[in-house]
Amino acid sequence: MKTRKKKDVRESKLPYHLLSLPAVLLSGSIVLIPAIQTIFSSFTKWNGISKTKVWIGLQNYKELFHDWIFWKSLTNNIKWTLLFITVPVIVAMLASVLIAYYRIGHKTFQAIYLVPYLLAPTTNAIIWLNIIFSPSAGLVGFLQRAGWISITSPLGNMSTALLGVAMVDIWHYWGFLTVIFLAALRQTPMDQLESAQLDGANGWRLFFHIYLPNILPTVSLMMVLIVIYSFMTYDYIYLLTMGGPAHSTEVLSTYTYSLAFSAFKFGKAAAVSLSMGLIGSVAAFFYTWLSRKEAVE
Amino acid sequence: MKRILALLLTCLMALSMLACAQPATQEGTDTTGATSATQAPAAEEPATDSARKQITFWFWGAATPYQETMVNVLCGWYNNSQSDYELVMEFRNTVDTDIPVALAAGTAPDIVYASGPSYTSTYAQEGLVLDLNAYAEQYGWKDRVLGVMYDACTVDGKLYSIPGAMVVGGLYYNKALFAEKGWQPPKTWDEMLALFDAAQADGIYALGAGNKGWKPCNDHFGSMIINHAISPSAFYNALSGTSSFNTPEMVSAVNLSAEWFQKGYLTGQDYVNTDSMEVMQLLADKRCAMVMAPTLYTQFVAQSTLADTPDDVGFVAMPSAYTDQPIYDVSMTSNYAINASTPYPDECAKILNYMLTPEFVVEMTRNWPGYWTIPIKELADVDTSSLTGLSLFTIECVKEAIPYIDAGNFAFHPSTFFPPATVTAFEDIDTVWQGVLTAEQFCAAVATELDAEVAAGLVCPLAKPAY
Repeated sequence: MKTRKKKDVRESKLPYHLLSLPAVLLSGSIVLIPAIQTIFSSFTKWNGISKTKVWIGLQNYKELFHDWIFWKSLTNNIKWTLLFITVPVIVAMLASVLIAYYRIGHKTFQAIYLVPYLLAPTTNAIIWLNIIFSPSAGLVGFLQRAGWISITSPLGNMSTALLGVAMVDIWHYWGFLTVIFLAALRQTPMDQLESAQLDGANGWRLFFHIYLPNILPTVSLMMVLIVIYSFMTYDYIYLLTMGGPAHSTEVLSTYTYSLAFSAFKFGKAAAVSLSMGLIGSVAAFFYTWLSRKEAVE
Repeated sequence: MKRILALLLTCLMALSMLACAQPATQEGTDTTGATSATQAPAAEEPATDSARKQITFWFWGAATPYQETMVNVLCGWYNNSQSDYELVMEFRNTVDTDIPVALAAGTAPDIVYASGPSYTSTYAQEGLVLDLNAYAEQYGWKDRVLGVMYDACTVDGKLYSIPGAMVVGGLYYNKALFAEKGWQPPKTWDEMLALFDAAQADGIYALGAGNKGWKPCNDHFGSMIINHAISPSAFYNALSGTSSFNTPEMVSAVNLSAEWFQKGYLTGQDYVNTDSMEVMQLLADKRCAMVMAPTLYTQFVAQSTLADTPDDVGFVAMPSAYTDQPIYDVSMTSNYAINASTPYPDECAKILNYMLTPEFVVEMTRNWPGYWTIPIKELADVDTSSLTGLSLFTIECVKEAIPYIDAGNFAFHPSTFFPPATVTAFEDIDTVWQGVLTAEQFCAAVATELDAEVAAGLVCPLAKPAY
């Protein structure tokens, strides 16, 4: 009787196991195996094409400890994360609340905000590099020549280059956040809103006491995702500055790429990417914990 | 019912995954953004017999008209010359990273593109490209190719690749601008510096230079300043292991390059915001006095408005602080090897041999000026009567340099002659320009990489420069 019951349970779960099988196979083949190889490579000296990897223990990690470009990259990743969990979140929150509150032209605004997000990073980068920042054909060059204001591209200056690249990426990203927040805001129970309004709550009180508590789980999850993405960021930095000038915009991912494909130091590159992965894993763990907590609640 | 639906969905997912795993089509654009072609639209229809065996050749993602030129000339010639094989070109923006990955995975093309001998020496040491000595003997390549370029393609005395174009560094200038200002092309170091200051006083950039879109450009400008401030022997001695890269002389030259940058000689504050094409447009717009660059920049002149008045383009050797003789910075745009696992090595060698002919040089340069000055000795006597404008200008620039290069008046360009980790370290010369590192720290970092790569035998044989 007991065996029969167990068998029934197994049979009832079979389709679900089968459904998850492709995902497990995919993860195993394109994530797990390369991840194990990367961990192993980080302890070796390897040029990326040789069949033999020379085991050198912790040498790559010791070198990274004394490598100023690695620390510069890590610092830039942290700066990037801080920028992304503040600027676009605040801007998107403001825009979504305004749209939700006034409900005038919200569909049009949503569509407009999403346009940069829908464009390929290459397209966005080319727009900013050639139409805005270019001293020859761009807006910056035009303003320089017109002599109206003294302006230079932020990408050319060591102290503003990272902000310049982040600005472009934030321009592309905040519209997406707005749409996510707006979707969450729409889930706010109308009865709470109406009773608060009847009690005479003003806009700020509505936001802090009604809207924000309702969308907080979404905001928290987005923040964790932003942290994960920030430590993996690559595209806009590579397209706009390739990590320059003088490594002022270098982040761990661009440094990994440069070590692997310019210097043929795949072992050291693996060590950098592993450290990047470890930080991402902490954020991913936190994300999973939040998701479960939310599901339970 | 739910169970059946779930099983059905599973089957559908499995089927769709299998469908996704089908190989990409051979023509058109694949998921990497690469484009492949066997013939240009205008080319004569070759016999496209499906039984033809394919020879593959990946190249970098040049501008579309240039891609068409290459397909027309190279594929056109080869595919029409016989009916058993078909040469298929694929243009990839990421060719420099695709090739090593594909070689390691055993899926590389038959003809292996490289952005300089430092790449092929690594491939050769791993046995991934063929020793071409037998073909060199069969086709007489050693007698036909300029020694300095031939030697750069060898490892332990064996030839592993053939050189692409030899380009020479110098100063581009706009003759119309010089006529307006009453300037003369500089013949001495002091004249050049005076011209830089005069240009800046007139509100234009002294030199057009920039690394937007391609950070490794730093090595063009950094190495040219160093090679003309101190003798080319400094690089030679470091590369041949007879002295360190980190010498007081080198430190002073690196400091000088930083001084030039800080004075604004290199496009002022717009170095990072200017790409190679924009640099040439600055020259066309008379917004910079000169452009310090290798002759491959002629391809960017062709993309600027200066292409409408090619007679206005001038090019002279960059003056040096230590001699009045012209010194040319020598580099290779690319080089080509044969995949060790190709089933058609003889056919690949036949294609490479065609690339070492005056006919190929002239036909490529006709529509792609600046990039195809293959370093063959016949280049000095090549018939250029059918060429005009920038195409003729390209060949003439290199022709003028060849006797000097033969006499040893050349300097080494890092991207061609430095091994991979060393050239990557050298490209960080902008850290000194921007005040992040001192010249001493920079030279020490380059020396560390170079010493390790010299010990690993990754430096190609070098001809000794005269200075």
